[in-house]
Amino acid sequence: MIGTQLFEGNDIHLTAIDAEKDALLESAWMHDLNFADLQRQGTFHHLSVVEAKKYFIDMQKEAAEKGNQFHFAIRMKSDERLIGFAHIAWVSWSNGSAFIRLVIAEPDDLGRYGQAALDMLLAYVFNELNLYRVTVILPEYNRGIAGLYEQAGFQLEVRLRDFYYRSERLWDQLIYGMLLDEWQKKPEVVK
Amino acid sequence: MNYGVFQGELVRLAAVDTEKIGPVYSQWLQDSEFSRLSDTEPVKVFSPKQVQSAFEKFLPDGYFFAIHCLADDKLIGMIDLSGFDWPARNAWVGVGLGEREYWGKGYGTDTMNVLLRFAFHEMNLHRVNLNVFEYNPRAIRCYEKVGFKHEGRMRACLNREGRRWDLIYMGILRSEWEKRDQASGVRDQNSS
Repeated sequence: MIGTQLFEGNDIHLTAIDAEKDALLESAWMHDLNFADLQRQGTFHHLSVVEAKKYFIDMQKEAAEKGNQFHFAIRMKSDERLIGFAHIAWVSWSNGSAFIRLVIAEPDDLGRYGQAALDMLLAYVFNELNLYRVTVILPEYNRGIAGLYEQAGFQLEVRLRDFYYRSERLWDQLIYGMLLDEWQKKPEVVK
Repeated sequence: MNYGVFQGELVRLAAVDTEKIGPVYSQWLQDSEFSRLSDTEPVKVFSPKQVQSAFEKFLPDGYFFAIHCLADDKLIGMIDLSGFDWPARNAWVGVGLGEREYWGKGYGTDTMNVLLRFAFHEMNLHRVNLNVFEYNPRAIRCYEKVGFKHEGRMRACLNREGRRWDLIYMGILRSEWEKRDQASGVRDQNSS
């Protein structure tokens, strides 16, 4: 329905990223290398506040210029506490496909609000962006968030063997996908 | 002339001369079937100048090679290794033969054999990745022949000609390539 609130959930909402303010928490989270590696692949190092701010500003600039990506801060509705980020990237308009990435820093928040955040992101992808498929790329070692996508009905489609090196060994890359009709069949989806 | 590690049985890999590739590649892109086999985004045409400046921009991002036919030295295609992950030692390969009369005659397979030898025995990679469109069985056969293994498919990823197609992922590990390489003697073809 047109009146359906896309950005407002029961406990959380999807809001704009505030590069200045949100850089403080992003930088603090990135000092936990486990977070850095699990959530921000390819940036296995600390981020100072200045770097985190630049990361967000560059991201917003690229989104405005290319029009093929969308970035949200996930906040608690009660007190606007930042719990993570939701990213939609590499939208291919002709193919109706995109990649999504959900970043929720604290395991407790992931457990409580992860599913709701993912549901809101998927509603935006399918009902507003009018896409046909959505893809998630995960390292095999990121079991915490893999469970969230599996529970939501994503299919494991690709396993690239020995793709990452971490903690003295190689790990596979997993690619998950969900198609529009699979999402529409989910019982909790209100069309 | 022996081109060493860059020479195969049918082709050799050479440096990309951006001035020469401009008009040639521009002509290849005029063939929409060629472009549709290599790009997921809507195909477009580009002038020789545009192609030249694109290559000048992209060349530092990876290892790009011009594919020349050994028999007549004609420039027939391009191949590149890029997107390197050095800690994991892997990279992505992309290949395209722009000259149609060289399709389906073993040039792609020979090119890929030369590239893999370079990737594993020169770059010391552990793994090489690629993806290929479901509607390109000729390329899929070529990749299978040189030893790539199917690792899955992103379903319904492409939308062309009114239907949806999968994006197929393939990979080859160094150990797999070495086993295959020993069996076929590819490694020694230049030393004899």
